[in-house]
Amino acid sequence: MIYAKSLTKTYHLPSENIHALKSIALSVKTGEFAAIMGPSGAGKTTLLNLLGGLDIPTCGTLRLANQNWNKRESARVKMRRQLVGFVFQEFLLLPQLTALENVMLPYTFTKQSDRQHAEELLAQVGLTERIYHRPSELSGGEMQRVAIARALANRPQILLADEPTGNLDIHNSQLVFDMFRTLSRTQGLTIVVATHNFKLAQFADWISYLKDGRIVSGTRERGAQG
Amino acid sequence: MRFLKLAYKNMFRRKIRSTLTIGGMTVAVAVLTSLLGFNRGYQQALEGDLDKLGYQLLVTAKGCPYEAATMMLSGGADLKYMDGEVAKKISRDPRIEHSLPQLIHAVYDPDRGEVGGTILYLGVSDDYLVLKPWMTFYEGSWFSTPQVMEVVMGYEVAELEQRHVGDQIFIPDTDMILTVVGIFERSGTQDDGMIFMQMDTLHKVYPHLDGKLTGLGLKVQDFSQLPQIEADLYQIPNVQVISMAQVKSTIMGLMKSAKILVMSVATIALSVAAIGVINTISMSVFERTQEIGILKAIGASKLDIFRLIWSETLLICGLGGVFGGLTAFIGGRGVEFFIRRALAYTPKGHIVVISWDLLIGSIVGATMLGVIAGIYPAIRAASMQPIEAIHRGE
Repeated sequence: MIYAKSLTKTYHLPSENIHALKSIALSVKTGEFAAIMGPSGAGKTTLLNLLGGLDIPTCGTLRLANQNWNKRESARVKMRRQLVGFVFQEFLLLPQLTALENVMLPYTFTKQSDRQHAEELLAQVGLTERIYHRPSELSGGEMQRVAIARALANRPQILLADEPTGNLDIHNSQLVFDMFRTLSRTQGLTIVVATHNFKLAQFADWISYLKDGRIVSGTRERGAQG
Repeated sequence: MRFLKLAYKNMFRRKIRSTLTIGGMTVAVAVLTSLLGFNRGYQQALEGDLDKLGYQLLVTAKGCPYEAATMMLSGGADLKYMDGEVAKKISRDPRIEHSLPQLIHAVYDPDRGEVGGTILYLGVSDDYLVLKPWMTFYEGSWFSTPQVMEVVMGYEVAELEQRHVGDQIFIPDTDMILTVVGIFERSGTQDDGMIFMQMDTLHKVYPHLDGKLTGLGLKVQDFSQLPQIEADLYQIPNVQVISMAQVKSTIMGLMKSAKILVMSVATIALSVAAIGVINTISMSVFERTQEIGILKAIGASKLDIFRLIWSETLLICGLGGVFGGLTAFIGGRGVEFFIRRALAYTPKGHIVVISWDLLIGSIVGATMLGVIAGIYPAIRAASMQPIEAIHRGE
């Protein structure tokens, strides 16, 4: 599903060049749940941004769902609409919209509109009773679950989550990672999560460690809680 | 959720700011619409007044043309007089179909109303009804003979003085009493405020005016001969000729100058409102940087973001246009009231006319302003890189 080879990202600043990612090699199969771990500044977010088409790699090969990565804006927009769903540490819900409207937000930019699917997703994340509530009326864990439902609205094949539990307590964090594992196992969703929490990373099928823009180690063994 | 619904919800995240911006646009559109309505209404009312004069040329004693124009439309005291013999000579011209000698005399009556008032007497001939066939009677009829001591009253003056046919009226400063034989229907012209007498009767009541006229209205046989007749009349000493076209162009010339000034003010008001809209939307884009980033992350293209921000601008300007147009429509009579108090002469009828086409034009114009005002903030939002936008907003 995801295949990256020699993936490199360098930021050219006036005073220096910052090598955020250095020749990354990564392969995630369909339905796998992968965790990327590493300290702050290791390049986890940059890697997820490249995988999701939010940013452009300086060089390297990237294939998603058997398609070569394309530099064109229109192709990247299509990728974000059809192939990839994003979950961020900040929930980034629109405060003026209800939970249901936030989940249906991606439909604004596509020709499809599937209210029933949006309601099913909210039910799947346990928010049936909260669909008409605004973000200000939801807890942090509930907001993140709405954000996950929104990421799944366009039926993506890949879910990318950048520190999704950074603002949650341990109970809600475990709930979210358990949800990811269920999604990968029951729906065959390919999931890549960036986290610095080793205990949570144990939910994943395998873990890669990133340091100073390089993958320093990785394991394909299922985590302790798997 | 569609673009417009999302744009509408975004607009009301900052209720006070959006309301103030729409309010600014409303005021600007209302001012512009009222001014355009005034321009159109005044012209229509003036044309109506001039058409109802019934003649195409007015010959008066030589003097200031503006004074003459005002006199012709509203009457007045201390007027210059022309010789009645000259008028008779002009009337004999075969190119003239009808002539209407007029003698206006204004008298101050201290007993009129609570603080006194001016009564306007108009001496006319039987040709009056020929030249103004639309003047019909509410009560009674025209004078029985040319020298009879009778008056016919305009609708408004009869209503003001509570007069009916058969009543007798006392002429101030004289010992004359005249009988009311007719009251005209309301005509919507200055004639509604006049008391009509036969010319000979007026001369008898005010002997010092004998043989004098304030004006001679002329209706020509052939309209194409008008310029030649006008030129010929100019050869007569001590008279001046005013054509209706001249009167119209004189007043419209003054109106045009005022219009340019007022339109300049309205344009500035619209420009300020447009800058306010650009400022509001730009601030909104700046505050929602992270939100724009997330919209791009979930599949919004540059064009989608452009359309979204543009829609918000169009909504603000469109709503401003609708409210502004309605304000002008509803407040038109109030504007008219103030204009009538401010201007020395205003024609009869509505002088502020907010028609449907003007109303729709205002709304479309305001929306078009939104089309232009929205371009900059929309481009700025559309050109944001998603990842930079998401992190800049944190």
